[in-house]
Amino acid sequence: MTPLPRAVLAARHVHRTYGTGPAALTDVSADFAAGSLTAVMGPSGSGKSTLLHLLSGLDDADHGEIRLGETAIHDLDEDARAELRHQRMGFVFQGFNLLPGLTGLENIRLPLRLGRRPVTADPQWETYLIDLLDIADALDRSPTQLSGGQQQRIAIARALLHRPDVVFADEPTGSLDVATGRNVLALFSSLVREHGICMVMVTHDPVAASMCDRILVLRDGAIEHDLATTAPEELARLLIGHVGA
Amino acid sequence: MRARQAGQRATGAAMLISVTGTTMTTVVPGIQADVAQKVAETLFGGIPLVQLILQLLAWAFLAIAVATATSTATNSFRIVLDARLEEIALRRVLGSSATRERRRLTRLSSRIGIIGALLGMTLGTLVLLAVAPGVVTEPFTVLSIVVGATAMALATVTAAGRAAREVLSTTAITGLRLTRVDEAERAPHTPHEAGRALFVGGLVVVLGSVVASLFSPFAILVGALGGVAMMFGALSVMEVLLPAVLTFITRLGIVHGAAGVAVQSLRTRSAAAARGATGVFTSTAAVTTFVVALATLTGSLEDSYAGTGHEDAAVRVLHEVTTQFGLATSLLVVLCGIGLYTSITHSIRQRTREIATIRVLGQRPDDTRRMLLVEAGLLTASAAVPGLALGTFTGWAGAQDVLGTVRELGLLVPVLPWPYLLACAAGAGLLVLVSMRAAARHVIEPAPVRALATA
Ligand SMILES: Nc1ncnc2c1ncn2[C@@H]1O[C@H](COP(=O)(O)OP(=O)(O)O)[C@@H](O)[C@H]1O
Ligand SMILES: [Mg+2]
Repeated sequence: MTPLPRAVLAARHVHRTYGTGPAALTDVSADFAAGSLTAVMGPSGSGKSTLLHLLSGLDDADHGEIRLGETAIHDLDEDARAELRHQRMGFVFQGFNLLPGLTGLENIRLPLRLGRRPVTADPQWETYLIDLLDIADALDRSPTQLSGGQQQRIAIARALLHRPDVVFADEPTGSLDVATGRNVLALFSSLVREHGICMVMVTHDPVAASMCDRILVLRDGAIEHDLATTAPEELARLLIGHVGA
Repeated sequence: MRARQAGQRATGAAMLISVTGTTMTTVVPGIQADVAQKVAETLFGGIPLVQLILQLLAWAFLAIAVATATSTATNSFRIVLDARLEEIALRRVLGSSATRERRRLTRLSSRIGIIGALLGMTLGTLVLLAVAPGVVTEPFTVLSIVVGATAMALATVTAAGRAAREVLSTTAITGLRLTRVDEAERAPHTPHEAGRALFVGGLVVVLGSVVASLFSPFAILVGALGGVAMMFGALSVMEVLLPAVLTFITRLGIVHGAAGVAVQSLRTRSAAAARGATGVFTSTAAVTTFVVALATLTGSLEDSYAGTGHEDAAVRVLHEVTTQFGLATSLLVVLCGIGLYTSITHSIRQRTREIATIRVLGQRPDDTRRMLLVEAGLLTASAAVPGLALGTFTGWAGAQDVLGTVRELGLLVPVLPWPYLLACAAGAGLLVLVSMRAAARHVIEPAPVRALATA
C-alpha cells in the first residue's frame, strides 16, 4: 500500500447554511490523518452529519475548501465526486441501507458493480473481512432475515471491500444494542490501526468515543472541543454540559 | 409533504383514468350504432348475424374498457394510499379507526368517480357530435351511454375500496414501519387461485368457441365471454409471469452491473410490480385483440370475396368498422399509457432510498439514469410482450369464431399488422422515457445525500 500523506483529509474554513435557516456549519477547519479514528460528537442539530456530508463531497459547502490528499473535492463536479467516492471512500449509515433485493454477499460486492472503471475484487481481502466480521452465515441470506448487528457488519464489509482511504460512519452503532455497538467499535479501531484507514465517525456514545484517537465536539455548527483520546467520564461531562447550558 | 404531493399526483391520475374511461364507454355505443346504420345500408345489412357481431364487439369492448379502467384506477389509489401510509398509520395509532380511514377514501373516490363520469360523458358526447351526430339522440344509444358511465363510476369507487382493503389490512405498527415486514406480508392480496382459474377457464372457453364456431355462428358469444374472463384473470398471470421473467433475465446474465441490481430489486418487489404491470398487460391485450381480429377478418374476407363482385361492399364495411373502433381503441391506449406511467413512477419512487444509497456508494448520475431506464423498460416489456401475444391469440380466436361457419376459408392465419407493432413499440418507448424522466427528477436531481435523508 502506498503511504498516504499524514493529513489525508482536510477541511478549511467550511460554511454551510440550509435555505434561510441558521448556519449548520460556520468556519470549520480540521485535518484527519491516515490511520486515525476520529469521533464527531455534539448535540442533535449541531452539524455532525453536515460535516460528514461535506467531507465526503455528498453536499456542497457555501464556501471553504475540502481536500482528499491532492484532490480538491470542492472543485469537482458530481461525476468526478461519484468516481472519487467509488474509488476511495466507504460509507456506513445508521440505518444500514442494505438493498433488500440482494443477498448479504451481493450487498458486500455492490460497489464493484457501480461505476465505469471496474473496481477489482481482492478475494483474500474479502475472505479476511468476512472472517473478521464473522458474517459467513449471513452471506446467502436476504437482509430482511438478518439481525441489526449482522446487517451492520455486512454494511461495514461493503464499505471496506474496495480498500478505501477514508471511511465515513454516521451513528453506525445508533441502531445496535450496546454490546453489539461496542464490538463494532473495537473492530473499527483495529481496522484503522492495521490498515492505515482514515475514519470519521459520528457517535453519541462516550464509551465508543473514548476508544477513538481524537474527538471533535461540535456545537451550533462550530468545533467547540478538539480532544485527543479522552476518558468516557470526561466526555460525558462535556456533553452533559451542553444539555445543562 | 412529499406524501401529499404523491397523493395529489395519484389522485390526478385516478381522475384522468375515470374521465378517459367514461369518454370511452360513451363513444363506443355511439360508434356501434353508427357503424350498424352504415352497415345496414350495404349488402350485409340484412344479415342479422352481422348486426349481432357488431353489437357484441361493442359490449366486449365496454367490458374490457371497464376492466382496464378498474385495474388502472385500483393501482393509482394504491399509490395514493401507499404515499400516505405512514400518515394514516400514525392517525390510527393516535386512535382513528381503519373504518374511518376507509370512509375518508370512499368519499374521495366517490367524488372522483362521479365528477370523472360526468366529465367523461360530456367529452364523449362532444366527440360523438363531431363524428356521428345522428346517433346521439337515439334512445338505445343514450341508454348505453348512461349504463357505461354508471359502470365506470362504480368501477372507480370499487377500485378505491379494493386498494383500501389491501393497504389498510396492515396493522398500524407495520404501517409506521416500527416492525420489520416483508413486502409479501405488507400487501396481502386476494387469492391468486381464483384469478388463475378465471384465466385458464377463459382460455378453455375461447378454444372451445373456436371448435364450436365450425357448427354455429353464435360461438362468438361464448368466445367473447371467455375473452373477458381471461382479461379479469390477468393479474394472477402477471404475478407468476413477472418474477419468472426477471429470474430468467438474471440467469441469462445479460444485464450487468447496476442494471442487474435494478432487476434483482424489481424481483423482490415483483408482487407490487405485477399489480402495476397488469394494467399494461390487460390493455395491450385488449387493443391487440381488436387490431388482430379486424386485420384478420379484413384479410380473409378480401381474399374470399375477391372477384365475386361483393368485394367492394365487404371491404367497405370492414374499413368502416376498423376506423370507428380504431378511434375507441386509441382511447384505450391512453388509459394503458396512464397505467404504465403510474406503475413506472411508483416503482422508481419505492426505490428512492435504494437509489440514494447506490449513488452515495459512487454511481454517476448518468449511470443511475441508465439503470432506471433498464428497470422501466423491463417492466414495460414484460407486460406488453405477453399482452401482445395474448391479444394476438384472442383476436385470431374472435375472427375464427366469426368466420368458422365459412368452411371454405379453413383455418385463418392471424394478422398482426406491423404498423401497429411499430406504434406499440414507439408508444411504449416514449412512455418509458417520459415516466422515467419524471421519476428521475425526484431521485437524481437532488444531491444523493438529500435523497437519503428524505427517503
Ligand atoms: N437538508 C436540510 N435542510 C434544511 N436544514 C437542514 C438540512 N439538514 C440539516 N439541516 C439543519 O442543519 C443543522 C445541522 O444538522 P445536522 O448536520 O443533521 O446535525 P446533527 O447531525 O448534528 O444532528 C440542523 O439545524 C438541521 O436542522
Ligand atoms: Mg445527524
